[in-house]
Amino acid sequence: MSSTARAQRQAPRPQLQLPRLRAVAPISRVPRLPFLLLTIAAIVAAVFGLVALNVSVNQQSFRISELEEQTRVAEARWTALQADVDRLKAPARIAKAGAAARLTPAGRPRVVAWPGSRGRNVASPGAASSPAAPGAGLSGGDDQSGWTAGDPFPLKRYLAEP
Amino acid sequence: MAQAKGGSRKRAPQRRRPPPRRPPRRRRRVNGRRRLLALLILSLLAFLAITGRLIVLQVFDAGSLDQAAARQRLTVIDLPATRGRIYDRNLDDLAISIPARAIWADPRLVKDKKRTAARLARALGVPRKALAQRLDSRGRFVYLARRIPRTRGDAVQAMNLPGIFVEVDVARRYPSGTVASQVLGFVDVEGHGQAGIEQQYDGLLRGHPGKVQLERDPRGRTIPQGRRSLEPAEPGTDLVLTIDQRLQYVTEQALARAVHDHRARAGSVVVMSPRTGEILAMANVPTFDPNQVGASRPETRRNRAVEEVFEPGSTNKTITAAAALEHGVVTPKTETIVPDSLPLCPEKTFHDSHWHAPELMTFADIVAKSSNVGTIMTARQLGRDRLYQAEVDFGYGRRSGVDLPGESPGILRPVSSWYCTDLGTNAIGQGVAVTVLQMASVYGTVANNGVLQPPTLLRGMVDAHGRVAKADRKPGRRVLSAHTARSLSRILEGVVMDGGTGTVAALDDWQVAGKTGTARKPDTRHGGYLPGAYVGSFIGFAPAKRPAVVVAVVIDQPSRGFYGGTVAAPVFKEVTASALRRLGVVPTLPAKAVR
Repeated sequence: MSSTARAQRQAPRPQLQLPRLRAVAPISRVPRLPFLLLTIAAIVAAVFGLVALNVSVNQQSFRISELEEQTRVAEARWTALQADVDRLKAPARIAKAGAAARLTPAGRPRVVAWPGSRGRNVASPGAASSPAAPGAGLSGGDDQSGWTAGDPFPLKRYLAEP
Repeated sequence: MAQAKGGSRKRAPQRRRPPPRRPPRRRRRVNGRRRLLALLILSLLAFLAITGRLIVLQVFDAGSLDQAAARQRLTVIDLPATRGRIYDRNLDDLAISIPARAIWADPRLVKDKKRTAARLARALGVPRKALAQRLDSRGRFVYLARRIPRTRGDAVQAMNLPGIFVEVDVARRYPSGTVASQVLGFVDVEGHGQAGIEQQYDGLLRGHPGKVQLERDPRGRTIPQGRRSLEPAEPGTDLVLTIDQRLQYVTEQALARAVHDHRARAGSVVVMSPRTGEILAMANVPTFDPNQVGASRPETRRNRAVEEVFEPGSTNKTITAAAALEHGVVTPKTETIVPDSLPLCPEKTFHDSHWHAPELMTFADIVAKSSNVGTIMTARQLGRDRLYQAEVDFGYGRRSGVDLPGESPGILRPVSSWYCTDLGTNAIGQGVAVTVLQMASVYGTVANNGVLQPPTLLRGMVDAHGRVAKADRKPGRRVLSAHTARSLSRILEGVVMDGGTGTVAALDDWQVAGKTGTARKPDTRHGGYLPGAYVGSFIGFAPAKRPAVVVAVVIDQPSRGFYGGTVAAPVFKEVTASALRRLGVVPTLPAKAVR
């Protein structure tokens, strides 16, 4: 053994500063399950809510599509029915139906001249009026002044304006 | 030492050679670094390649790729515009568009063509052979049926046949069939107007098609929250005509009976309001059903009243008389000795329709009895320039501008090219050709106190709120003085009185003014006139003192009788009486007003 090693062994060792130990309360273990369940529940609720919202919006969209389709069908039906009405209103069909029912064309128009009416050359009061002559008694005669004053042309009353 | 070595070898001859030493640690480190470097470089290159490709895809090709993706997902559905309706003056439908279906096929996708054709033939009511032929075609699109009823189309769709598709279509319907068919015209398969009002106002009636763009999943279902854009179709404008459907029907029936009874080739009638120029009815025989255009002959589709011309004959004497009265050449009471023939030019002598001794006639009598000679004598006094000018003023030789395609302007040769005989022929309505509508306008001018009101068929248009907006009207044009028109009207009243040529046209309840016409028919192939071929006509108005309607009747080439007073006047009587009753015009003949 060398003298150097002996000197090292005889040298005083440095003192260690150890932490002071003290008593503490035992650590309580918090249960993780409720937290886990709560988190899962929140996530599920959020996802479900989103899906529900999406479904609700889509339902509205489907409903709109359905209603639009219903409108189209109703419009088509209305048009088809209108075409049927027009076909039934056709003069040829009415004439045929009238002939089948042994109806005859309307005869000569009969006109009632109300006292004080402007018309000339019209029948005397008391005569039967004819439905074939709407507006009868209101126009007619040979009053030429009517050409410029207003519009005495019978078509004006006769026209159907919506 | 050598011995020891050799001895040791002998003692352990079986000893294995030690395993080869691993490569030095330093060398292994170098190789790993290189590999890592290579991997890094490769990764970088791959990353750069991916980045480059991403840049290409996301920046440079983004637009086209986005469009390609949209094409895959998006479906565009065309929305056909509903063609506008055509109403009569009482807002009864004359032409409507109803929803229909079209069936088309992609022959390459059809699996069993024979079976498909058989099933479709039953559903569509189309011959199986015809369908099979179409399904055998090489293209990828072929129509199998168009404008079929919705129910049939839906039934085909329910069959779910591969390669067979159903799409929305629109069918045009004319509920009253043949009524006013030549006025209304018709549309082709594509829904474009091909004749009549349908052609004239095609731009207004057609509207603008729209489209809806939807996002669909691979199974073709609409994605509810997907991209969606709608460009709604604009429906066509609804038109209101001046035609009265019921009067039109009565007119057509009366004309058809006359054409049948007199075995005529054809006939036309125009009923017009002289004050407004509105055409209340325009009938032609033969006619056609626009719901079945394919089954009709082309000549039946022609609106003869505006497209064909005829020589007016004696109905043209009204113009000669009007010009003579207007220029003071004659008065209604001017007396003339009228022989039964008159040599006008060296090569031409004009005759009256029957022999008579020279007769003292007033000008009113000349018109009432329709004397050719008396009229030509008056025309000679008038002069050819003034006669020609009168014809021009009344609208001869130019289109009236009525709302119909294919209108003929008529034929009126300029006075500078008139021959010696043209004064005589024009005076009595030969050598000049007009349409029925032009002649109706001539009498409408007289009835309207000398003002020519341009004829029209369009009363108005229905706006978006359903209100009728009146169509613009062309202003009237004065042709005669009111005095001349009234004088002429009184002369024309004489035509239907005893001694006149048109007594058959007289009505029991209203005074009538009018004129008969019987003209020879020109031979368009060989020149001259066709032997035994005539055009009989009667044109007039009622009530004479305050006219509500002008009615022009022309019967083309009748075989049983040919005088206008016998073939056309009865039609005039029936149509005029119906029109006046329909319009509610009070009878003007007091003795017969009450029965």
